[in-house]
Amino acid sequence: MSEADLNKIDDLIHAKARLGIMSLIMTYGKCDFTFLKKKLSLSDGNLGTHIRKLEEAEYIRVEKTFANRKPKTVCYPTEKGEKAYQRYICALEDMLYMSKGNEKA
Amino acid sequence: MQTKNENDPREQALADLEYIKHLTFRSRQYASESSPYFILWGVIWVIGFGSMAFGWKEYANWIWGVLSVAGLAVNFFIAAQQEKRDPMPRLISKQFAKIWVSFLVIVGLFIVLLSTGFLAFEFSYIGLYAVILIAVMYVLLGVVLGKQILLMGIWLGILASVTAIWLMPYSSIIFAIFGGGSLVVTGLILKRWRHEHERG
Repeated sequence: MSEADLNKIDDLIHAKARLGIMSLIMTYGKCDFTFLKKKLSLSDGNLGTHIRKLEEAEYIRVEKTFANRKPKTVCYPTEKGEKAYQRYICALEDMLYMSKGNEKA
Repeated sequence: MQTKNENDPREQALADLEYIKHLTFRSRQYASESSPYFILWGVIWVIGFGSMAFGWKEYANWIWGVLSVAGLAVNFFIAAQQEKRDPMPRLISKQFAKIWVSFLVIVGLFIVLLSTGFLAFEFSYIGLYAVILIAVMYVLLGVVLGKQILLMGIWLGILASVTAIWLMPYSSIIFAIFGGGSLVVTGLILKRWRHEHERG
């Protein structure tokens, strides 16, 4: 496994919580804060921090609305985020493929 | 990421993929979530076909009209509640959309066959045709929702065929008892199954 292959791994997505957020948003198309919190078992503050990082990187778009007078935060994937996530999955596949090749050699 | 050996890229990649799978895998029991729909439409069948079997055929239009509107309203309410509680993955939603389009095409073809006279039309056949179309709908939905729904479609197809071939004069009572009854019983079994799944 070369260093170049490891460099393909996007550090922004690689953190477990952010990988979880991105995976869920990519699977469901949109996810609200409560849903992400429940699925990922994260605290409000922790989840909020990771969402902000992904939003700053323009990987997700965050919409804040009100539902029944309660604030509601909904996250959507952006085109940039979708591409980054696809690249991340491809990098993981490459890592598996390459290490399998190394084992045979 | 936590891995067995953080320096091993393969272990790391496997752990990442395992985590993604764990989060996004279709762990929802779609079939068990369909229990309220089975019970709802089962009860409607029992009332609708039962009233026809007991000789209220002159009110059949009204009875089925009211039951259908009420059934659809409750159906949409349940669906909205489920979607709010646990949304459906994009892939499943897309598959659902394709299934509904396919079903509408089949219903359209059915209407063409009826209106052109290629398919015989009598008042007493309406129930049979409805059961056939619902059997087709369940078979299509079974592709996405699981074998329980598929098996229900096959069962309704067999019931409709046997009734059409040998038992047409008794179609209303058969569809009320065996059609509606089996929908209610399946709904109750799935409900129990879901509770057991949630507990265990």
